[in-house]
Formats: sequence, structure tokens, C-alpha cells
Amino acid sequence: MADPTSPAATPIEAAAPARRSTGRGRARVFVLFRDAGTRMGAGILLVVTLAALLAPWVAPYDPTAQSIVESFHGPSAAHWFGTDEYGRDLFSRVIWGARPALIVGVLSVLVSMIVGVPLGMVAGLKGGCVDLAVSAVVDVMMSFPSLLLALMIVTLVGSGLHTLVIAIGIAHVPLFIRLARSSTMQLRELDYVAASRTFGGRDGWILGQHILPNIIGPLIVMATLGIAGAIRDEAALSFLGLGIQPPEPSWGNIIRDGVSAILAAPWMALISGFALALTVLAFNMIGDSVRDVLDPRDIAAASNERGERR
Amino acid sequence: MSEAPLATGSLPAAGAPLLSVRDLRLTVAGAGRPLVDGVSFDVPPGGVVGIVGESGCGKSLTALSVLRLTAPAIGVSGQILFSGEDLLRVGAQRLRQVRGGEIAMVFQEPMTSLNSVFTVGDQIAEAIRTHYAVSRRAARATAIEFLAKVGVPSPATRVDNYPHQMSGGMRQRAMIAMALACRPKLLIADEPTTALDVTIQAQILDLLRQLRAEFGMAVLIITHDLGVVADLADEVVVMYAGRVVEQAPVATLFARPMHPYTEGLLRSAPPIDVDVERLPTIPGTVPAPGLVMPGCRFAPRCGYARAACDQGEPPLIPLGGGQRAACIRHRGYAP
Amino acid sequence: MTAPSAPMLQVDDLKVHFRTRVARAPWKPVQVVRAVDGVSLMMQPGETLGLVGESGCGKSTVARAVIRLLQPTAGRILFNGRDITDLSQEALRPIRPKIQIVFQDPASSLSPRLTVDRIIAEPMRLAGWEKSRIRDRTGELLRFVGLDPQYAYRYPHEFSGGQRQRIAIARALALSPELVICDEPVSALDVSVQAQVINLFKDIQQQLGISYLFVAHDLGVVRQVSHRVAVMYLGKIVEEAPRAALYETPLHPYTQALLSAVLRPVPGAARNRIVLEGDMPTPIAPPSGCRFRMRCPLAAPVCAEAEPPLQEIAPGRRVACHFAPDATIARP
Repeated sequence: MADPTSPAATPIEAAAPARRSTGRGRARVFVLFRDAGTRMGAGILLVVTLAALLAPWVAPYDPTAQSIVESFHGPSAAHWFGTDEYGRDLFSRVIWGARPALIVGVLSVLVSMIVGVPLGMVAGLKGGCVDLAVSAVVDVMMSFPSLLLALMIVTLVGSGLHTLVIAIGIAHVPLFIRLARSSTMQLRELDYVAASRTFGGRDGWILGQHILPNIIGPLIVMATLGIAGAIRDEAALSFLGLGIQPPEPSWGNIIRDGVSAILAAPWMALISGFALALTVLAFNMIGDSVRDVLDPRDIAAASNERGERR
Repeated sequence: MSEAPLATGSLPAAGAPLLSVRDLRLTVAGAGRPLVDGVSFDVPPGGVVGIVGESGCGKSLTALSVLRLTAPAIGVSGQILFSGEDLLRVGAQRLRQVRGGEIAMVFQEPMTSLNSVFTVGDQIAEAIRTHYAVSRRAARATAIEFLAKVGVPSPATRVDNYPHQMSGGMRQRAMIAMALACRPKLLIADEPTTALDVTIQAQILDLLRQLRAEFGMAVLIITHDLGVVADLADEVVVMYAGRVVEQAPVATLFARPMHPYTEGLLRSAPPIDVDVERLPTIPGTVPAPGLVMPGCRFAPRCGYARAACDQGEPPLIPLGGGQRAACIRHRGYAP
Repeated sequence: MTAPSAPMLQVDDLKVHFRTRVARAPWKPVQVVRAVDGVSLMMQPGETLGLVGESGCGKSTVARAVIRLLQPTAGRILFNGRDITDLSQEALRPIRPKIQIVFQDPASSLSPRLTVDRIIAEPMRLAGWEKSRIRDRTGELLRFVGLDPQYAYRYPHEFSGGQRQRIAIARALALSPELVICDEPVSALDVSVQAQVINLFKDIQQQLGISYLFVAHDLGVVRQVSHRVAVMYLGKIVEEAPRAALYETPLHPYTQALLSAVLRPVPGAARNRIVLEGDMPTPIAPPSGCRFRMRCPLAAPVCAEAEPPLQEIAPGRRVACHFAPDATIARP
């Protein structure tokens, strides 16, 4: 068959695109930062991240160094946030506590995504038995609160940073499966996916070329909100004594110590609780504004499902 | 506006028009060109006027603005005189009386304009009870009566159907029944048959014609399909990129289109009665919505275009017999 | 037309049934939607076969089954003599480039996240072409469909509907197909742009000699592109004929009604049209005998008893009516 080498005799409809280019990517970032909430969230996040990264240099004391004579000192010039039962400097402990919070937050969401997104996309694209099986597992997991799920895993495997990441990560997998599955199911009906099949595109190609690029936005939003949830879960597990083990500092175990000494040293629980709340808030604010910019209705639906269940 | 003041269309004998749209202009802040730009036309009592044009020409916005149904972000100016009363300036209460009472509207996709959680009968009855103080039972009886009038088979059972239990054609009939139940003086139909198959379209057009004769109501029909206009309208308004480019009684328009755009539209529709080797086309595409154009908006696609076309908007030039076209080729025309 | 050679596409008694279940009610019986219920077609190389009918008649389902986006329930599809009905997706891959499809809505057939050059490159990348060859071919294709290659790095949303459909056509032509299935390719376009795209389809055919299976509901459009036309009603072909014969002397009562219902841009022309009563019945429970009998003005008792076969009554003319060729609906 002849190749089309000569232009068709058809009059050229219009050589130039009908609409002007809108340079999507960069414009969206600007829109994002126009919002005061986003700027505030990003500011908080920057401070927390710097604290975690620079803890050895920023923290004035060794967070585990005890000094019995200084037990339960109130905030002072020497100890900005005061000291705890063992005379450890609370300011240093709160700064070092940012490390497990961020590490667990980010890494566990990565675990959830690495496990959940491919499973959800495959279930959404293939449908049938694969979908039934995946959905059944998700439904069982969703019938437990994620914290309880993480708690069970930690109880079985033992505590520590690695197990926390894995446990919280796995507990949040159903969220990502659900989101990836429902977004994929909407996309697979579109004609460009059908067209790809007619060129001989296999499932893997379709997922990589057509599905993933179109669901990445909602996934990013879900990940941001997921980090907030994971940080909260880490704090909760540490509070219960199943997470970061003393004397290593974590906001959760500082709050626990503070609660048991709430009358002697009320600042302990208040300050560490404030650090936790502020960080969670920052991720939530950023997640919300990314969601507003990307217009992903499905995430709203997915997080609501989660919310109702809790 | 430098446009000449308008005559009352082609039916001067009919007296005062029922609806008279004057210099309607719809603008969005920061969007460049107005979406609808100085549109004027009349609908005489009992007359059928068709507005034709392609997507983006502003025909649907024009129809929506008659009942002030356009989005709040759109600025509306001009006059919409309904029996002499300017609907753009009446209060909320009066507007509610007019909406659905004196002017009713039928949309393209009845599935989105009917509420899916109420039965068709309930919705028609509600429309009646909004405008007339009648009992629930009487309203239901009227609903059945009107469903029968629009040709819904076994209306006494269909009245209790939910919209999803009806076919597309049936839903459009129900929608029309709802519009007619308050005996409006004017029915605005926005692409009423576009979502329907040809055989169903034929049924609906016949129905509209028959109802118009029976109720004596005026109809403003919005469509992209010249066939629908030829079938139903007395008078045609052709819109392009927010402006009226030609206006004429239906027979005149189809026999002797005077604007190059109308001519192009008529020629480029694939005919069903003859084989054509190459269809005549209108080159190019509709100008982008925000694009500001100094002269005639059709000039970039027009075979007759010359330098003068880019200097100022051409006014609608009267050509006799109620026909008017906005093309400078007719400048100096004396009928 | 050329002398009949070996058919390029042959469809024998194709059936596509969908099983639907009432959601969340597995105890209710499964309903079978007989979307396509015994369709046979034959296409020669370089020919356009128009497939018309109203929504729900099964014409798009036929198109999607031929390109194996839907799995046929029964029947055979032969492409260049080879049975492709039951080939696995993997076994189909070598044949895929020869059969391509252009969809109705270019807004949904072009990925919004990809630039035009990446969209057109997809079939070539899947075929394992080298980068430089893909780039050359992309420019060539864009010029061929009347677009400036300079804009290959734009996104689909920056183009108008007609331009997007040209992009979709360029992509379908990338691997030099022999058969292009056109599923309502101009229905989403404005009238003034429709004619341009129809002309483009005809130019492409003239230059490349490809065949079209052209599915549309607009009888005017179908007349202007097709060599032969088949009319479908409720999952079956009721009439098939060379285009002039079909449009000038329609033999099946449904074809007659359909043609007379088309609006002509002539004021008052449609006053003597045949207006059919009612709607098309549901394909879940088609009527016994002739499927059109519920709406047919000529229906007789025999129509309920026996299903009229699609029989050849003249060379190239097939009609499924007990009264053909004498079935003529009187005009009002």
C-alpha cells in the first residue's frame, strides 16, 4: 500500500491550533501558592523538615542525656521547653521527635502506594475475578480502623522504626487500592484506551501510558493526606508504647510521658501535642489545596468513605 | 451601537411582538469579546422563530437569558421585552411568575432537566401548582390530560413513571407536557430534538407543530440543524460568533441566502437526495471565544472577503421582504 | 466498482449478546441484551460500506466486534480470509495494524495528558519503530490530514473539534491500515466542519485505497461517503444495497420511513413524511417474527409468525421483508 507522502488535497482547516496554549504545569503551581493556607502549610512543613534534618546541630542537648537534678524544670532560658522526669531537655527531644514522624509518615505512604496503586490499577483494568478478589481483601481490611490494623501488625512483629513503617504502610494500603481502582475503572471506558488496544497495546502498556499519568494527580493528593494520617498513627502507636521505644524521642511517647506527669509538668504534653497537631495540619492544608487545584472528585469520595468508618 | 433601529421583522400585521429582544449583550469579565453581542429579534404572538448557528455562536445563551437563567458570572445588558415588560428589570417574584407560567422552556436532554427521584406526574403537577391554586388531585388530572395531548400512550399509568422508566422520545414528550401544562404564551425549545433519532425527531416536530396550532403559543426554537428550522419556523435568525448575521422569513432564507455564512451552511450540509463528489465546505473553524476581531467575524473564512471587511462590524442591512444580512456586499442596497 | 475479488472482510451471522444482571441482586435472572443478533456483511478492498440505523440498533456494536474490542458471542469474522473471531489478544497483535478505528468523540479518543506527536506516535512505538522514523512519519501524517506539523507539541485541548478528529485520523493511518472503522466520526462536529472531514475521508480513500466500515446515524453523511449501505434495526440488517439504489428506491418499509423522516433544508418539504409510531423495542425481548412489525404500517399476520430472511432480490440488493420488493408505504 502506498504511503501518504503527498498532502491531501483537502483545504487546510486551520494550520494553527484553535486555542492558545495555557502552559498547564507551571501555572498550576502558582495557583497553588496563591492560597494563604498553602503558604502557611508549606512554611510549617519547611520548619519541621529542617528541624528533622538538622537535629544534631540545632538541638542544644543530647535528647537522651539524663540529669536527675533537673527533673521537671519549667521552661527557662537554659531549657526553652523545660525538662522531663529524667531531666532531659524537652526542646531537643521535640526536635529529634520530628525525625520518626517524618520518616514514618513519608516511607509508610510510599509502602502503601507501591503496594496499593498497582493492585488497584490491575483490579480496575481487568475487572472480573481479579477485581473480586482484590475488593474482598480491601473490604476486610477496611472493616478495621487503620490504627487497629497497624496495632495488630506491630503486636505480631514487634516494635521499631522498620515495623512501624511497614505496619502503618500496610494499614493504609486499602485507601490507595480503592482510589487507583475507581479512577482506573472510569478511564478504562474511554476511547483512547480502546484505541490503544487496537494498536496492540497490552495491559502493562495501557496502565503505564494511559492510566497512571491520568490518575497521578489524585494519588498525589491522597499521598499528602496519607502522610498526615501516618504521622498521627505513628504518634498514637508510640503513645501506646508500641511505636518508638524510650529513651528514643517521638512525639507520641513524649505526650505519654507528659500525660502521666500532667500535673507536675503540663507543658510536656502541650508542647509535643502542639508540634504533632501543627505538622498534621500542615500536610492536610497542602493536600486540600492540591486537591482543589487538581479537581479530583474521587479523592473526596474516597477520603469520606474512610472518614465515616472511623 | 451604530446599528440601524430595527423594524418588527416580517410580520408587521401581527401588531406588537410578544417577545422583543433588543441589543442583547452578554459579557464575561476579562474574556475579550462579548459572548453575545448586540442581538435583536422579535417573536410575534403565535409565531415560530428559529435561531440557528454552530456551537459557540451564543444561541443557547441568548435563549437562557430570556428567562435570566445564565450563570451569575455573565453580565447581561440590553432589553428583553415580553409583552412590553423588560424581563431584565423585573423583580424576583414577577420573574418566578413568568418562568414556567408565561414562558416555558424545553431543553435538549430531558434526563438532566427532569428530576430523577420524582415521578413525571408529580413534576408536572408541581409545575401546575406553582402557578395555579388547584388541588393535588386536579393537578394530577391535568398532568394526565397533557401527557395524553403530547402523545404518551396510556397516560394514566405513565403518569406514575420515573424519568428513567421512559425512552428518550417519551421523556422529551413528558418534558413538553410539563412545559405546556401552564399554558405558556411562549415556548423556548433549546435543541429539543438533537438527542433523538430521526424517526422520533419527526414525531416531536409534528407534535410541536400541532400543539402550536392548538394552543396558539409562540415558539422560539434554538437549533444547529437547518432542517429543523425549515420544518418548523416562520422566521429565522442566523447567528455566528455572538452576532446575528442574517435574519429572514424561512422561505426567503432557504431560497436566497444573502450572508456568505448562511450560504455556506446550506451548501455544506451533506444532501440526502443527490450524490456529490466533493462537498462544498466552509474553510477554517469558528473563532476562539475570547478572540477580539475588529471587522466582520466571518471574514477569515469567507470566500467573498476583501480588505474592507476588516474595518468595522458590518451592520444588518435590510434587503426587503423582512430579510436582513450583515454583509458589506449589500451596502447601498435599495429594494 | 472493480470486479468482485476475494472479500477483505467477511462477517458471518455475527451475534453479540450482553448478559446483564440487576446490580446487587444476583438472585434475579440474568437478562440477555441481543445487541447484534445475526449480522452478515462482505467488504471488498477499497470500498466503503455505510452502516446506518438509529441509536440502539447495534451498528456500533458490530463495528467494535469487527475490530475485536468486543468479543462476539457467535458467528465468524474473516479478515483477508483469516478467521479472527477467536484469536487471543496476543495472536491478534500482528493483524491489529491492518484494522484501525476512528471514534465519534475526539475529546475522549485522544489522551488529554499527551502532546499530539506522542498521540500519533503511539501505534508506531507499539510496532517497535525507531525514533527518527516515527518523527518523520508523524510530520508526514500531520501534513497529510491538513495540520501544520509545527504544532505537534501542543495538547489536544488546544485544538478545535475538527482538528482533533484530524489528529485521530492521522493516528489511525500511521501503520497503513487496510480497513478503517469509522464509528460516527463526524457526528460530534459542527456542520461547517463536518463537510471538511467527510472530504478528507474521501481524499484518503482515493490516495491510499483503504476501505471504510462507516457507521453513522446521519443518512446524508452516509450517502456522501459510501459505495454500499446497510440499514440495521434492532440488531439485524433489514436492507442492504448500492447507495443510489437504496436512497432512490428503498425497499424495506423501515428504510422508507427512515429516509422520509430525514429533515431536508427546504421549507415545507417534510409535510408528507412517514411518521412511525412508537419507539424501537428493547433488544432484551425483541418481538417475534419481523422485528419491525410493531411499528410497520404494512404489518400483516405473517409478520408475527415468521422472521423474514435477508434475501437477495437483485444483484447486491438484500431485503428482509415478506412483502419485498412490493412493500411501499403510502405517503400522507
